Amino acid sequence: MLETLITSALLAVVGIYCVVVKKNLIKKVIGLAIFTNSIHLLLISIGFREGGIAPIITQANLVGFAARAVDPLPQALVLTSIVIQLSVTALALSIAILAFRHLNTLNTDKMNKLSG
Amino acid sequence: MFEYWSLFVLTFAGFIGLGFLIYFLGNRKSRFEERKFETYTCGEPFPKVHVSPENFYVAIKKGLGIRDLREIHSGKLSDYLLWFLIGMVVVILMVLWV
Amino acid sequence: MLEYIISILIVSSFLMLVLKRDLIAIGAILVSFFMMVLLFFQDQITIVRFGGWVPPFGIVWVMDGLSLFVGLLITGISSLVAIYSIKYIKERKHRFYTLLCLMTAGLLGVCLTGDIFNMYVFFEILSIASYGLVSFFLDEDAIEGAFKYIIIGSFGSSFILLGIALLYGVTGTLNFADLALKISHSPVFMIALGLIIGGFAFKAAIIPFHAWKPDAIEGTPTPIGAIFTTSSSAVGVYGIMRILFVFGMIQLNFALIGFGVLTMMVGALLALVQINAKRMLAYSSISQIGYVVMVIGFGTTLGLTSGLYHILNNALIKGLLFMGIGCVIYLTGKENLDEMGMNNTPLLICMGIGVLSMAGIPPLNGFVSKWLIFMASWEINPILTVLAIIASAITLAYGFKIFSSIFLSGKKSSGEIPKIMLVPVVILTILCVLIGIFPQLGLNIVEPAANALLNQNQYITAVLGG
Repeated sequence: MLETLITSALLAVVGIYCVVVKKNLIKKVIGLAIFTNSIHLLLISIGFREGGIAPIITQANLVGFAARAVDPLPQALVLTSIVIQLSVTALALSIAILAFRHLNTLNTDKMNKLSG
Repeated sequence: MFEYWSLFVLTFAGFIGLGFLIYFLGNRKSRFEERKFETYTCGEPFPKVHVSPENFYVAIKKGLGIRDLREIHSGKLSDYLLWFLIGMVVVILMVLWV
Repeated sequence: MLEYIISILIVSSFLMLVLKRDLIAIGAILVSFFMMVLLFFQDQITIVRFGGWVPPFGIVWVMDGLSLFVGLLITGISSLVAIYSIKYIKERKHRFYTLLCLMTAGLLGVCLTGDIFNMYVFFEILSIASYGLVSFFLDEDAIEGAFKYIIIGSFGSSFILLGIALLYGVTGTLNFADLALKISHSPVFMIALGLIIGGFAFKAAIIPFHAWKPDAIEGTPTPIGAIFTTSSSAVGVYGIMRILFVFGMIQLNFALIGFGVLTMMVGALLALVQINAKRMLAYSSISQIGYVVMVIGFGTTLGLTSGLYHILNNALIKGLLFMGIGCVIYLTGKENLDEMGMNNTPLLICMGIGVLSMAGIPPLNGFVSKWLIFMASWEINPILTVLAIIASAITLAYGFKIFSSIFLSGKKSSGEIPKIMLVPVVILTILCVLIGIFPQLGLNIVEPAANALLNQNQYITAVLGG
């Protein structure tokens, strides 16, 4: 489980770097997706149990199920969050298309007409 | 909690009293006429001008450090996100150690 | 009862896309407002257990005094905006009303829920609907405001999700009442608290998380600007209060006081030098929320009451000013302060009352909440009262700047303001004057909310013990 936590932290750093530092709008959206997926990885790995089984009840593993199964609640949270991230990414990409059509550039440093 | 109506009466009376004071002070005969200022135009004839009160807002804009605040709000997204990140780090540190 | 309010709003928003009749959306929002008023007169903690599952195993919705207060505010402002937009929005009205219903449903859902991940889901519904509403007009300013809002917004929401993940890892539960029983002072818990507060502070537009707000409000339609400055900020502050209440820390919190003072001063100073009317009002709203956050950080009863009362007054005043400016923009088509001008008498009276109330002149409602804030901050540190008075003076200065640019500039206007756009403005003006003369009306709504925040045992026993 430690490996997944370190992976999640590294992915979060990469995602935050992409969102904050990169100037292209599409790269910022990709960085946002990376950052959100790192949080999903963290959530799933929180519910992990050493040597656990998948949380699906069958006739075979009914005995001692709750003691051996991996926690299913974070998995449900991650499923919800993946759907939310999907819709936000779709909306962000469509706004990026509109930005390119109206402002003719994808460089966010040049899009600073509203300032002050 | 507090005497609301007496507070209201007091503040209202204060405003009206201040208004009367300003009115009477302003109505006194002043020794000077309406101030017009001379402008230097290298010897050319130029009429004396009357300064309007809008200059008040110009004076405010030049002081008070607003020029730096407007430069910080540069309109660039990367700068805004950097402020967000710095603010998040400051909030976490303040919650941990205060 | 609670689940019907949100389900009516969500169903009507989808019906709007299919049937394309405006009346569905306006009717749904008005119905939700009346249901909230009915719940106000019931005066007890209402609990809905979904599927019959007992907390902490199931999702539970709780309405105590604080949720009721914010819910009344949200549905009231949304219904006024829905009536106002019948004439203001001229094209693609169906999509506007769809997004408006979804946004109201999201705003209400954040307030009514008693489960932290459910709060995140409704927060995202609210955010996605508002991303669509900011980019509604599809011109240059709207697109620029929209992409700044969406990038900063999803960045902030991801921090809330990170905080929820850490909370679940430490305590193993997601229910508010259950979390309040399992507080530990370990560093991971505190980091999660800081992350979630930062995420909600983005929505409430506290400095330094406020950067999206002026740009987004400059691009969005004016009635949506009214909803952003009133309901979104109220929900952001509600999120912060609820999280602090869970953690049992409604007490002297230096982070909140520091950020509140900074927000108050910077918002007021920047509002003084703006040219665009909507941008100036956006900075003004940021400054008023700074007052609220500073006063909530004190943790005293007077502090909480004055903060909540100021949220109510800010909603009434900003709604009034935004819709008034919307009338001017509708007639003249210009948004900059040096190009606007009108000579309509009812609008002059209403906006004059709005500006005086924002500055805190008696006998209007702004005076009541500002006086309470001064008293609350005097007990803690007199320097804070001096700073609050300075910010109020600056508020009067830019309020007068708006009023004089519109009505004292000598420009004439052609055409009539539609009656249906003046109705919400007049309703809000009457409310401002009424609450100013009889402040007990506002205190009747606000005091149960403050009591609900301070007595968390009532909440916990109602949710877990019942």
